[in-house]
Amino acid sequence: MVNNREADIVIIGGGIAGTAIARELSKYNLKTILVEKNYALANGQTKTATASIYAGLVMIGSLIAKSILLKPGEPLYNPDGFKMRWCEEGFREWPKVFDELDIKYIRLPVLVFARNEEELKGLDYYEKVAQEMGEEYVNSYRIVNKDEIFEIEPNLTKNAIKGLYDDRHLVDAFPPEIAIALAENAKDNDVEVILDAEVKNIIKENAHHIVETKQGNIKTNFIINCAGGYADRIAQMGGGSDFKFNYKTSTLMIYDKNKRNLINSMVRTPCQPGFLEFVKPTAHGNLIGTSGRYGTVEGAEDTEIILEDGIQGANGVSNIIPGITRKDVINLWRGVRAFGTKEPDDYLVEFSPFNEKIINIVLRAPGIAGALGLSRHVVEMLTEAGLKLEKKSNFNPKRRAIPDFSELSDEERNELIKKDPRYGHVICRCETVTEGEIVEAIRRGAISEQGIKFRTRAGMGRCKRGFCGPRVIEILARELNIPITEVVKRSYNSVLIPYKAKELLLEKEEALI
Amino acid sequence: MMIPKNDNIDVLIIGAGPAGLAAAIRAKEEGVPNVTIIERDKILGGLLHQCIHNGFGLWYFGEDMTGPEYAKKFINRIKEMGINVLLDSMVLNITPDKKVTFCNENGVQTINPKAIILAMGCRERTRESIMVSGNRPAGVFTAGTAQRFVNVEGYIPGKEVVILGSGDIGMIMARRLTLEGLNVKAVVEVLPYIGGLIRNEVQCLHDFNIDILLKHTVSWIHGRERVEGVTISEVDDRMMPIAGTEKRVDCDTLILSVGLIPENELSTMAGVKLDPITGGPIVNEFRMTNANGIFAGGNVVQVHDLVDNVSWESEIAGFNAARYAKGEELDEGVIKLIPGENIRYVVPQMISGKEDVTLYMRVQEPKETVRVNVGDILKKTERVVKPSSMLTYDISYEKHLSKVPKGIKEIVINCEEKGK
Ligand SMILES: Cc1cc2nc3c(=O)[nH]c(=O)nc-3n(C[C@H](O)[C@H](O)[C@H](O)COP(=O)(O)OP(=O)(O)OC[C@H]3O[C@@H](n4cnc5c(N)ncnc54)[C@H](O)[C@@H]3O)c2cc1C
Ligand SMILES: Cc1cc2nc3c(=O)[nH]c(=O)nc-3n(C[C@H](O)[C@H](O)[C@H](O)COP(=O)(O)OP(=O)(O)OC[C@H]3O[C@@H](n4cnc5c(N)ncnc54)[C@H](O)[C@@H]3O)c2cc1C
Repeated sequence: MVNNREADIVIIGGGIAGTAIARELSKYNLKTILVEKNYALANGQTKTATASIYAGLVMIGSLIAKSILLKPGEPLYNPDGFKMRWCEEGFREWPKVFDELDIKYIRLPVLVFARNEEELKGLDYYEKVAQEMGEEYVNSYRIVNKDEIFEIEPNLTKNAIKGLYDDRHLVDAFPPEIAIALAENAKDNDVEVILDAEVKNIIKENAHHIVETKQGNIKTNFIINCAGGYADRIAQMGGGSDFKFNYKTSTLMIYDKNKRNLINSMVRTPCQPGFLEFVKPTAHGNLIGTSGRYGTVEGAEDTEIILEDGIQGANGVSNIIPGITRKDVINLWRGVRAFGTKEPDDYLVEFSPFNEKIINIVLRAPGIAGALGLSRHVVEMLTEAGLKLEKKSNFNPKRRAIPDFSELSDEERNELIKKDPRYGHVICRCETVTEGEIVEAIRRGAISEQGIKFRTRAGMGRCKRGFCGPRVIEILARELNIPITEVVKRSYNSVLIPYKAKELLLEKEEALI
Repeated sequence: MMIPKNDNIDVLIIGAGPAGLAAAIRAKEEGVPNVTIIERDKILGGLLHQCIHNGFGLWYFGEDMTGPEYAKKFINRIKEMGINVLLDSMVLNITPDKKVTFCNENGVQTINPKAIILAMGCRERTRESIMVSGNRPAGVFTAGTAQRFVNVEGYIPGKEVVILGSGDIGMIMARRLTLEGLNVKAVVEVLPYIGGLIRNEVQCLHDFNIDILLKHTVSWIHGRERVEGVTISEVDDRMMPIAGTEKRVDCDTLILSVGLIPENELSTMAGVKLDPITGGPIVNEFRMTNANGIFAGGNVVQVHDLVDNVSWESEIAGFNAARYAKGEELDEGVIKLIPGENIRYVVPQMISGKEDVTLYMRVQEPKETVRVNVGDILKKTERVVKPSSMLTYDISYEKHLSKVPKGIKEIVINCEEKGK
C-alpha cells in the first residue's frame, strides 16, 4: 500500500499512451505518478498490437481497412486530425527515441501484391487513395512486376502477378518493450510507477481530486485518463463520459524463428474495408501474421481466441508464403482495438466536458505510432490549463536496455559472466535468456511472469514456458522474497502454482478429524 | 568441474537423459579415451528425474523400476568409467564442422570433438500449437511441466483438473494428481483411441475411476486471469468440435498431453537434415546423420514410449560414434527404408544392407490382424497394431539382408490387413 500520496499529475494506465506521457512529463519539475491495474505494464491493447510504426503504403492500407468505421460521407483521410499528424511525425521521430532508450527495432520494406482480378482492383484503389493523399504518398512506392516481385520475395506464392513496393516506410519494435523503456526512463527521472493499482474511484475534493486505487489514495491536481478500452469507465468516475467504444478484433499469430528467413519485407494483400492479411518479420526475429475480417465484440476484455479464426488466419498466411504452415505458429491472440465513438476517425484528446482537471485520451490504431505527438500535446494542454511547467535541468534522456545475452558476441558474453556468473546460466532455452537478465528485470520492477517476459523474452519462444516456466517462477519468488504459491502471471488473481504438494491432502485429512 | 581440453574430446554427448547416458557408456566401452557429456541441468538423468512412477527397465534390466532408479544404474557406470561430465552447461550452437559452443557460469567456450552425439530429448506441444479457443489465463500447463512441479519442485498446480490428451504423461499425471488430492474430472482425447500405453490406461485411469472421453476435445477455456472451467465437445471426423455437444466443466487447471516434438534446433544449426514425420534427424543404422561425425539417439530421433528402447537405440549411436572417432570407416546408408501402407515412419531411414539392424516403426492407424511386410525379406503377422505401440523388428544380415538383390535402392514397408 502506498498510503495517501500527493501528486501534481496522476496518469491512469500503463499502455503506450500512459508511458509516453509519463516520460514527456518527466522532463519537468513535477510530481507525476502512473498507476496501472495489472502486475505488468503494457498489458492492454499495447501488448496485442502488430508493432508497426508506419507511413506510406501501410498507412494507406490501414486507412482502407479501418474505413468500415466511417459513416457515409466521412473522408478516408483527414490530414489535419491528430492521428495523421502525429503518426507522420512519429514515423520520423520514433527511431530517435528508440536509439535514446536502447529499444530494438528494424526497418522493413513493404510489398502489397495481387494474385487475381479482385486484388488487382485492390491495388488500383491503393493508388487512387495515394493520389488523394498527395505527392508524398504517391512517391512512397513503386509498381513492381512479377519478376521483380520474386526478386524481392523469392518464397512468395507463385500466384503473385503485380505489386506495389515501398522500401522505407515501416519501422517495427516490440510494443511492450517500448512502453516499458519509456516507463523506466520516466522512473529514472523521478516519475513514480505503481503496479497492481487499479483505480476504483475518483473523488473531487475542493480544488483537487483523490484517486482511489487498490494501493491507496493519491491526492492530485490533474488526472490523465489513459485507460485504453476502459477509458469510458475512468471518465465516468471523474464525472461523466461522453464517449463509448466500438471494439474491433483481429487474430494475430507469431511464427517460429526458424521461418524468419522466408521473407524480407512485410508482405500483404490489398486490404478491403474491415479485412487484414499480411505477414512480416518482427524486431526480434519471428514472423507475425494475420488474415481475416475484423470481428466485433462487446468489450475490451473480450480477447478470447477463436479456433476457426486461428485456422483461417494461418491458412491465409500460408496462401501468401506457402513455406509457412499452421505447425509453425508458436503463439496467437485476439487483439481488441477500442475505437472511441466521439471522433469520426481520430484520437480523442481533450479535457473532460464534465471535469476540467481530467484529460481523456482515446487512441485508435495506429495508436503507438502517434503516442509521441500525443505526449507533447498533453504538455501543451496542461500548460494552457494553468499548470506551471518548468524544465528539469538534469533530465536524463538515456536508458540502457537489459543486456540481451542471445545477441552478444562470445567476448561480450564472457565479460558479462565474469562480472556476474548468473549471466552464464541459461534459463529460457528457446530465446537464450539467462538468470542474470531475469534478475535485472526484477530489479527494474518486474513482479510477474508477464513482466519478465516483456523485458527479457523468457517464455516467448516455441516451448511457451515449458522449460523456463518453473525456473522463472522460482527466481521471481526468491528475488521478491515471496512464496512460490504467490507468484502471478499478470494480475493479482492469476496465481500460477497455488498450492504446495500435500497441502490438499492435509486439507482433506483435517476434514476427516 | 572438469573443463575439457579443446582438442582432445573423442565423443561429445549433448544431453544426459537416458539416451545420453547409454550412448556415453557404450562409446567409452569401445575404448576411446575422452568421452564427455554436457548437460544443462544440475544433475544427470534428464526426464527420468521427474518420472517417479514405476515401469522403467522391464525390458532392459528385466526389473520394474522408477525413473530415478533406472537413471541411477547408468549414472553409477558413468562415474565408475571416468566419463567426463559438464553439468549446468547449455549448448548454444553446433556448426557443421562440429564446433560446439556452450556456456555456463565460467563463461562461453567452443570445443571441437571428433564425434558428436545429439541426445537432447524432446519438448511438449503447447496450447498455442494446437490452438484451443478461449481465454489465455494462468492454470494451463503441459503435462511434463506439471509433472516437474509436482515431483521435483513439490508444488501442485490447482485443485480441479481436466487433462487434454491421453498420452502417457497425461495419464500418469491423472493418477499422480489424484494421489495428491486433486480432483481429476476427465481425460479428454480427440482420437477414437487412447494415445498412450495400455498399461497406463489400466493402471492410471481405470484403477482410479477417472473418466476418459474419446472423440472429444476441449473447445473453450474459460476464465480471464486463472482457469475457471473448460467446455468439452465431441469432435467430428475432421477433429473439429461439433456444435450442440458442448458441456461446461468447472476446473482451475487444464493439463495438456498433446504430443512431444524432438528438440532439434541445435541439429538444424549443424546442418543435420530432419525427417518431417518423426521431427528427428534422418539417420542410418549407425545413427549417423547426414552431417559427418554427428550421431543421434533417443527422443531426439523419434519419440519413444519405452526408456528401454531409448537406451538401446543410443547405444548404437555411442558404439558407432566411438568407431568414427577412432577413424573407422562407416558404410554409407544406400538403401532407403520407405514407409508404405499404414506405416507412419521407420527409423533408421537408411541402411547399408551389410549389418544387422533393428527397425523402429509406428503405424498410422490402429488395426487388427495385419501382416507387416518389410520388402520381400521379412513378413510378420501382428494381432493388433496401434500408433501408440512402437513396432521393433530385428533384421539380420545373414537371414534377411544378404538375400536382398545387389543394387536395390529402397525397401518399402507395408502393414496390410490380412485376407486382403
Ligand atoms: C490487433 C491490433 C493491432 C494493432 N496494430 C498497431 C500497429 O501496428 N501500430 C500502432 O501504432 N498501433 C496498433 N494498434 C493500436 C494500438 O495497440 C493502440 O492504439 C494502443 O496500444 C493504445 O494504447 P493505450 O495506452 O491507449 O491503451 P492500452 O494499451 O489498452 O493501455 C491501457 C492501460 O490502462 C490500464 N487500465 C485500465 N483500467 C484501469 C484502471 N481502472 N486503473 C488502472 N489502470 C487501468 C490497462 O490495464 C492498460 O494497461 C493495434 C491494435 C490492435 C488491437
Ligand atoms: C512423463 C513420462 C513418463 C514416462 N514413463 C515411462 C515409463 O513408465 N516407462 C518407460 O520405459 N519410459 C517412460 N517414459 C519415456 C522415457 O522416459 C523417455 O523416452 C526418455 O526419458 C527419453 O530420453 P532422452 O535421453 O532421449 O531424453 P531426455 O530424458 O529428455 O534427456 C535429454 C537431456 O538433454 C538435455 N539437453 C537438451 N538440450 C540441451 C542443450 N542445448 N545443452 C545441454 N543439455 C541439453 C536435457 O536437459 C535433458 O537432460 C516416460 C516419459 C515421460 C516424459
